[in-house]
Amino acid sequence: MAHKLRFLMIALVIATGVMAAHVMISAFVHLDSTYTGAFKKHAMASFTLQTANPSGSGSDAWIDYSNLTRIMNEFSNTEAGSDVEDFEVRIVYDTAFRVRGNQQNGRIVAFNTTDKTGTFRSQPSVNGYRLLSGNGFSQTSEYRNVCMVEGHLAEYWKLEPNEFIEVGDNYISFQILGTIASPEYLMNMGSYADILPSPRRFGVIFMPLRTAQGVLNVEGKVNEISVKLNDILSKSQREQVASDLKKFLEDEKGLKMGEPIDFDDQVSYYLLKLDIEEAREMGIMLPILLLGMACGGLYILLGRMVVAERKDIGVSQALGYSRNAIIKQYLGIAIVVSIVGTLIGTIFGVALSGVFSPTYVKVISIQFPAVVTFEWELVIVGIFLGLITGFIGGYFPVKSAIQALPAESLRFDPSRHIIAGRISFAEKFLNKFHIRFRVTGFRLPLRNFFRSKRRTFSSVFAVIISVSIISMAWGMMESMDYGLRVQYTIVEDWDLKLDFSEVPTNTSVISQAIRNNIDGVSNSTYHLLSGATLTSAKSSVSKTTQLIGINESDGYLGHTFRFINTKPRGEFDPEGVVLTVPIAEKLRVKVGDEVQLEIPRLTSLVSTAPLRAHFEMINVSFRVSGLVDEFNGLVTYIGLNRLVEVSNFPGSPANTILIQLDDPTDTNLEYVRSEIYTRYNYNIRNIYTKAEQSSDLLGLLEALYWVMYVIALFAVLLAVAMVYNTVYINLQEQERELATLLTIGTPNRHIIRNITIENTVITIIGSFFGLIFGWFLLWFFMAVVLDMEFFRIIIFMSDNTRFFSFFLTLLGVLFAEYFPLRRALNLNLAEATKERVV
Amino acid sequence: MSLVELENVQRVYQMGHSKIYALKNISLKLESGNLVVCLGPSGSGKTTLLNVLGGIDKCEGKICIAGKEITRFGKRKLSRFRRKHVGFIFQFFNLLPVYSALENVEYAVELSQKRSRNETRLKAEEYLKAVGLYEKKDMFPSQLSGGEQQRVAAARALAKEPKLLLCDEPTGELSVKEGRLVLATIQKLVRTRPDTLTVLVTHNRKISEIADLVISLRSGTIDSITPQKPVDAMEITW
Repeated sequence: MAHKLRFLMIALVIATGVMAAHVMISAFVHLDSTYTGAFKKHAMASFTLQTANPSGSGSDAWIDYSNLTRIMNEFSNTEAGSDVEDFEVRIVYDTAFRVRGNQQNGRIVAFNTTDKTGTFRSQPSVNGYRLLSGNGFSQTSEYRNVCMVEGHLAEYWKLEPNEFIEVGDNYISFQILGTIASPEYLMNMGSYADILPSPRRFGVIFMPLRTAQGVLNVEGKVNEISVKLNDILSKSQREQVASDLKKFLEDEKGLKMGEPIDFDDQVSYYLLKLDIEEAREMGIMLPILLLGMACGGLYILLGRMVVAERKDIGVSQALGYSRNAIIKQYLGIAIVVSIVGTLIGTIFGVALSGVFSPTYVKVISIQFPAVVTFEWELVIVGIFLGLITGFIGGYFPVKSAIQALPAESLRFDPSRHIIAGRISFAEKFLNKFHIRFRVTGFRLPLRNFFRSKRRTFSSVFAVIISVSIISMAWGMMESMDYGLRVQYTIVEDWDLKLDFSEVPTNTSVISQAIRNNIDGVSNSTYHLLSGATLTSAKSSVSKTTQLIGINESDGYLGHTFRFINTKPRGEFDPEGVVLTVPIAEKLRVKVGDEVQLEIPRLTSLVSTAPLRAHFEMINVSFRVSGLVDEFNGLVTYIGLNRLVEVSNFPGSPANTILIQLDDPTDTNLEYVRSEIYTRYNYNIRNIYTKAEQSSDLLGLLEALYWVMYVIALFAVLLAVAMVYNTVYINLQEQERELATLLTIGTPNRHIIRNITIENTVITIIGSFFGLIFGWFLLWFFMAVVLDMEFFRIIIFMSDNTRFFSFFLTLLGVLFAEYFPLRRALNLNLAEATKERVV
Repeated sequence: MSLVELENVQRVYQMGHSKIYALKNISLKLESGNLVVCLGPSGSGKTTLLNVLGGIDKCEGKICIAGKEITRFGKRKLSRFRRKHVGFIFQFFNLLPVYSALENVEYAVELSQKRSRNETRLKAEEYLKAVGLYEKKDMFPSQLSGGEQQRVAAARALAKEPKLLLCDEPTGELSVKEGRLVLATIQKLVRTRPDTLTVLVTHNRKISEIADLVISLRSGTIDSITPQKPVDAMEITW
């Protein structure tokens, strides 16, 4: 019975590993199918091509709709455009929204609701959408201020059809017809300049083209082409067509276009792919870890079982069974255990993946229904992994144990392997200091602990597994928390952040006015945020990053750099650039190296308030002056004055003002925010506190936290299971001793105390190694498996977590000790004192 | 009053639908200072009798030891009773393998008597000397022969200075030579303790020659109770 229970536990650990493998790997397979299906169904563009200055004015910003349609038809008929299946010319424009009185950034996506023949259509031919609630556009929509809200924004604000949302700097009221999901916005992200914003800061609405043209005052104009190519084309072939189109538009038609964005580089999809990559790695590593533990558990269990039954093995050998036959017999047990575990794991894995995959898709806020399919290949892989676990866990201990001659085995006293017959070094050491425990006291558990290497190792091993997994799981959460805390208490050195709708060129004046005129403001400065491509002069590798121009002339940077240790030492040099570690790693550059920054250079000015100008892209060399490892992993910091100088910008342009308060209480923050809105409302898109920004991020990271919680919970269960097994074996091996002690009158409380002390010592020693191994696992999962570019997580494990891991494991040990101990205390003493077999 | 009084003691095992009577209406009185041998073939109930006397097995009827009716004791009280008044010598020695010979005896002394550490040690050494194993006091059970282990077990049992010494086939695992030495040791020690009643269980008729009283058991009932003049253990052989 006892063996059955312990083998069942091992089978359950194998089952969990197989189940985790199936569930986690199928989750990303299903996620992949989900978005691939969405791309196909809704004709996701193979590439998009915007005008050179899509948010500006003039000929490099807007193109006549009819003219562009005609040109695109013309291109489609050329050899270079022969793979164009369809195209859509449309408006994609970033502007301000006001949702229920709250200002925020947003994007208008507008498509023509009339097709080439003049017939109404509710879906564009490229980059379609899925209606989630309410209605799509109707024939009269283009004459009304109506819109459809993208799912992330709608979900965040709980927007319902027939509500209103105010759009544009003049806040024109639009009625919401419905909410939709778009394959372009699988994740709520508009550009590389603003990584994974919360829907509180960035959202998308769709409207009829004619309506958008009216709101933006660009009658008959568009600023983007979305092109759908033949599906069989590779990325390089798609890029070739995009390049040919750009050339065609610029060289033959005299239009000014930006860089095409390929399907694979589309920002939302790019981020999703990273997410999937992490899921894939976690999906592989975690089950391997679990199965490894199951393998270890089986190894120990069978190893000890074989030793305990060595006398029976000897009898079998004496009766003529070959060594191989006996190995096969025990291996058969391991295989049966693994088959049971594998079957349970596979059944639950298949069943759970039907629940987990849609949940996973929902948790990462994908607004399309999850495509759940039965994956035969995964079932086969799971079965293979489960069986190999049983084989490895069973074969080696059995092989090493069954090698004695029958005569030796027959003479063997099964309890002898746990009889040390010596005093441990630790006890001798204590004796030197005249520390001697009583024979009825601590001396017995101390001797028990050191009586057998194999026994001690298996007990400590279980504790190591438990402590390491718990500390790793909690460490993961702590690292996330720590990263956010460092970011928002040290690195982000501001209390209020103000975003402008349009880039003003007199930001220094506005910043100074806020500083001087509003009570409670102690400091203010401004930053210019944009996207930029960085290329290493050494490796020629390029990377698109968020570029932050920091104003160094206020004496307050609004940002605290925490440079990593480099030689020479990192610093913020206004003439150079500071890079985050992932960028430096990608570009393979270090401090002192040169990088090329592709930035816009003003060629002609249209207006200064707001800034409207024509630009050309130029490459400027900068020296890397420092490397920082911050939560936001894809940022390049540059001196604003130097950026303004090389970009030829007029005045002091910026799109963000950072404000520091003397006393940033909630009341004071609200006061300053309302004062700024009252005095400088023009062109202000949004003002938010640090707490609001960090809570947005915490909301986005919620899914990851849930994964950590599940891992931690599993760790505790695994710990109890493993510890139960080893404590059970330990007590079973000592059954005759315990019975003897009880027979000669040892009180129950002495037995309980001694076993508890022994297990506590095991837990303390195991915890020491477990915490070291836990740190290694934490490093492995955070730095190797979850090595994300967007979010950098500093590996951190607090003393609380260390203590908690120890304490929780100790609780698990004491819980696990309870049942076998209760059994031992209720032994039939008459029989147990005569027992010879362990 | 006799040290041990049994009245209609009965031990019944339920084996499926049938009942097996390991002890059937046993009534007897045993006095301290005696060495009593329970003799009988396998399944006669001799070990069961020993177990119920030692309070490690339950039974029907009444068992009084030193005026206390142990059949009415709960688990905790029985444990205390064994701790204070009963010494056990097992067939398989049952020494604590992690403790040396001296520590095994010390354990029993420390458990049963309130003494200082030094007194405990001296007491344990005294009993080891008595069984002739003082020189091997620091050896662990695995380093001792079977006979030596059983002599340490005897020292452990008697160091508690029990009222009742129960020996279950103490020579069952030993050679004749070793067994004889163990029996001689037990015989010698019990003679120095007139307050102790020793009950020894064996299936070996030869061994019963060392007893003051031989109780023959058959199928759970007392076949005969025979007082006799004991033979010196060193003189018998089997």
